[in-house]
Amino acid sequence: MIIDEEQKRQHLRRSKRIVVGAVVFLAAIIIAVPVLAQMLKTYVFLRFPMDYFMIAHGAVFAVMALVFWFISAKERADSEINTITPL
Amino acid sequence: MSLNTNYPVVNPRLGASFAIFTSAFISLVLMLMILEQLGLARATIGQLIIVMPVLFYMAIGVFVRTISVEDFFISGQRVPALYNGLSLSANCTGGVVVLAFTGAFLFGGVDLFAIGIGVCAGLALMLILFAGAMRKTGAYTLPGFFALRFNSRLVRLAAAVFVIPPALLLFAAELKLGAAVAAFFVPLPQTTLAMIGAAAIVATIALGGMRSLTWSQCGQVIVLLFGLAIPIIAVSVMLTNLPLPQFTYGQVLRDVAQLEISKSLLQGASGPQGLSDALQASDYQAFTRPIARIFGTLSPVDFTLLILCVMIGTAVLPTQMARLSTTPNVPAVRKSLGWAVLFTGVLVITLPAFAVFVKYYVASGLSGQSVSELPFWSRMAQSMNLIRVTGDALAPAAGEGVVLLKRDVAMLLLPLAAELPYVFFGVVATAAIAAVLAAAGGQILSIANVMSNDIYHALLSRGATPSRRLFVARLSIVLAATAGLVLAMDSPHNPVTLALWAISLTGATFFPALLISIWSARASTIAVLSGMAAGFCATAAYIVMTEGGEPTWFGIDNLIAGIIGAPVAAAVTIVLSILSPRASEEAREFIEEIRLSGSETIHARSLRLAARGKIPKP
Repeated sequence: MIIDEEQKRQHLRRSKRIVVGAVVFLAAIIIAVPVLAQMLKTYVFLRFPMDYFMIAHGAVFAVMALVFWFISAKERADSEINTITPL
Repeated sequence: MSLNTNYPVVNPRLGASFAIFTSAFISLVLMLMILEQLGLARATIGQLIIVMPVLFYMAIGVFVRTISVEDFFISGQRVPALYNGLSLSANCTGGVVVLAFTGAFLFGGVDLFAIGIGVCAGLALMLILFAGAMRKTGAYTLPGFFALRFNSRLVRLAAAVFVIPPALLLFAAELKLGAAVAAFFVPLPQTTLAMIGAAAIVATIALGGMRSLTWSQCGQVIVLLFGLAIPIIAVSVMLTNLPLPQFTYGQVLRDVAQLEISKSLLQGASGPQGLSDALQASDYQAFTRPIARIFGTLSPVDFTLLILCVMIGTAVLPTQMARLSTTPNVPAVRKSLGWAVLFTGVLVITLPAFAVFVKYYVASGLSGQSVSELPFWSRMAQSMNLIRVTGDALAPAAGEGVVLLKRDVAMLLLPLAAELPYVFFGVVATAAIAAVLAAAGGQILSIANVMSNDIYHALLSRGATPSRRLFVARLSIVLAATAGLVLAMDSPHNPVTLALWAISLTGATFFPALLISIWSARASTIAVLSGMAAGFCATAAYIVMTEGGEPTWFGIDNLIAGIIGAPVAAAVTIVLSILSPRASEEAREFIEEIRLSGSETIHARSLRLAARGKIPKP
């Protein structure tokens, strides 16, 4: 299937939104996790102090979740446009 | 009219091959366990468990040798996502993460987990910002990408030159760590062991290049994951009755925190310290820092800056960039980074469990004990120089000893402290050596690819035959390994210092340049060239100045000098881009093209059109 210019521009805009959203979320993980960890230090989860758990597990799980979301969002965007373009 | 893009056929027997490899490794471990019970000498067991897997890797590398340029440089572009993910994970972890990060966590506490977060976030950032575009260009190397983007030999040459020093630093760091581990099993000086390690790496990758590296790295990661999983699960079951150590060591962590207070292990701690103080000591040292206290070792600013520095360096590691072109297509490269984040994340959350268990055994079994009442495993560890216990062993009533451990090999203590069979000690060591070999091989091959593709073929001899290109690449592997070996033997700095300097140089030089090249059509040749030079020189100058005694700027340690260099590079690149003429139509089309996942790669199209005489050969 050949895509026209308007479809291509829509796809590029959508891709850019996905990328910007992902970068913002990644920045939020890096900044928010230490801040939240200090606020939640009195709580306990799976016998871990909550601040420790957020740093040593939570940040990594958040990054994994972000990566899996990003891959599926990009696959959906690509499949909707079926990106095969003419030279 | 639709394009016919031919995707390479993936080998359908890969799963079976690696299942056989995994079975062979597990069989080796079981056989050695049986032989240990039957009385085989420990020295022999140790040497077999270390040497046999290295021979496996070399056999894999030789078996998949090739004379095809596509196979040698980009593994034929037919590596499935799962296996590419294993290799990506191996490239960015290595001995530095497995050994030195675990040791840093053991002595510095949870604050040093910033390194693990940085590595995972770096892989994520690579996926989000660069992976699709890099794969779409089809470039063999990072300098190759810049050449396609700007159609400039000067940018290509500059990028190629800037790739080499950080790769050598990382190779030297890995060799030092590998030699330190191997010295417990093979009675040779560490210098000789480093030479043997370098020779083994060269032998593994010289004949097959990226193809050899890919499949040997997959084997090495399998050994790494199994080698760490077996002892840590055994210890987890012994201490917590549950086999998931990553989630069940919470109670042990709390016990360690109580032991730190009851055994007065925190007497030296007085609030956060500098990053260099937290990371630079690699000789025998005692526990002084709390393991579970947030910001007990690093300030919040240092913690965040460490994450950022490691993140931007990991996101643009040249050895990772080269690997992005080994998958069949863009969706496969995204999935491979997904797998890489998964494997790296699991590894990174497992290593603190190692550290906590080691500290538990040392704090509960050794600290505060009379020297005459130390358990048997500690005497064995002392005889192997894994630990030192101060105090007068000749006068048992002289009082308590203080336990000193070496940061970079501390994780090897766990199987001994848990009184597991000796073969488990060898299994942990062989897992660490697998990580070292995997990462070191990636660094050397990235240098060789750059030398052959970007300097020799693109700049000096554009008409070189494939066999000549392969010869230059193989020669470069040998030369780069020799240079890295000399650096490893001569450098007085510890491996973590070398690795963080390398990450800083890479991040500061390439992150702003790559980001602006991919996401802005306005980026010009002179802007990117100046930005890379500014980033590299600013970072290198900061490291040299502060090592020479100059005060730091804004309290930023020279281990994260990339935090100084990256903004300099970004500022130079942006200002010069704004001052440059408006982006050409060609640049705009290039930027749009690399953001579309389908169709053939730009490199493949350039070759196809050049073959028809429509454009000059790229």
